Amino acid sequence: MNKRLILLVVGALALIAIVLTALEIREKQQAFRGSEIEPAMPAAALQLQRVDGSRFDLAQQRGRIVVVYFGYTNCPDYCPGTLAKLQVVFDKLGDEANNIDVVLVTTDPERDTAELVDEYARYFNASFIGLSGSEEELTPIWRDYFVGRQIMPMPNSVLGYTVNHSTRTYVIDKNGNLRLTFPFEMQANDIVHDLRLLLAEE
Amino acid sequence: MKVQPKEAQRYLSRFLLVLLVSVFVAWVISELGLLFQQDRSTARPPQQVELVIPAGTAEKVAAGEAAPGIPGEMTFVLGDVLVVRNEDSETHTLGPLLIPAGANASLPLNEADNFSMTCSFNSSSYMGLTVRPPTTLRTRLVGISFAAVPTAGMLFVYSLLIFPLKPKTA
Repeated sequence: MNKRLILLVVGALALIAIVLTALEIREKQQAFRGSEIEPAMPAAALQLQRVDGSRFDLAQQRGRIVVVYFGYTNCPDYCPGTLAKLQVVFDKLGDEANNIDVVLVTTDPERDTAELVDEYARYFNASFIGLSGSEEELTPIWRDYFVGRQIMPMPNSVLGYTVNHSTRTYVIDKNGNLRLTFPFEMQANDIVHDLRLLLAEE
Repeated sequence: MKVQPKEAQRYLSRFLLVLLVSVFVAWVISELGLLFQQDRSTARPPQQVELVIPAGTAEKVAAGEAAPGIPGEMTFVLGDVLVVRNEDSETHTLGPLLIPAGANASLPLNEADNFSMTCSFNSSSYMGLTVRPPTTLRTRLVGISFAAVPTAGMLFVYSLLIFPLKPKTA
């Protein structure tokens, strides 16, 4: 009788331990790995002319996830690195990526025409969107998204100048809220994890 | 030369004794190291660390003054989550973080390194973040075991030179 009681207690304790571990794993899996903004804030307006003549309007993208990155086509490091990583993310997501838009907004309107930015974005993935505009159009967008931007002259280079810019990636959820930012160092698998969590939301 | 089982047992006993001494020595060194450790903030498991940006910070920073309670450097344990709570009326940024007024933004710290991040709520415009592996009981036990085994090997050889095991006469 005593032996049976001991076995029962040990079994119950083991079951509790398994349940608690499972709950902890589940909680960890549900947490975002990027920087979550709480409470989620409505994303600032983002409207620019697309290369095909239509207008990209962030407010019209409800029901889709929009990943926004600010950079420029002559960028030697962060921009190609980020776009290449997002391409890997799209590969890993497969068909799930059909509900995600990746948008590259230039920080160098002097050199980056709408055609050039769009071609550059599409080089990484045919579905990526590249946007440009006049400095007057872009300045309020940079300001509202807190994009750090600094022209660095390079008199001894054929480039003439580079543009130092912030490297965070912005994620806008299906409801048009700014939900996450990703640091440049974030791994593709972690981005996939976070985007899947957002895709699963209603 | 054939080693008799009894002889082997004496060597084994000596080694076990030396191992015990080595574990004790490694444990004492570990405790002393922890005692003199400059920054003991990493002697804990990973946790959520909150940093509050107080109201009026943007005005103070614009005036070149330091905002109260905002450090220039912070040290974290690998796996910590930094949660920045913005109680100011302006949006702030810290490296990859965008923290709208009245909101929180979190940053999981999953890489041990020294980071210098641009920071809108620090008068120097930068904040240093140091992420270190945690000094937990487990890491200390691993450290003690790594130190104790080679120490025991060396002490064993040394003890045989100083106090050789003489063959027992019948």
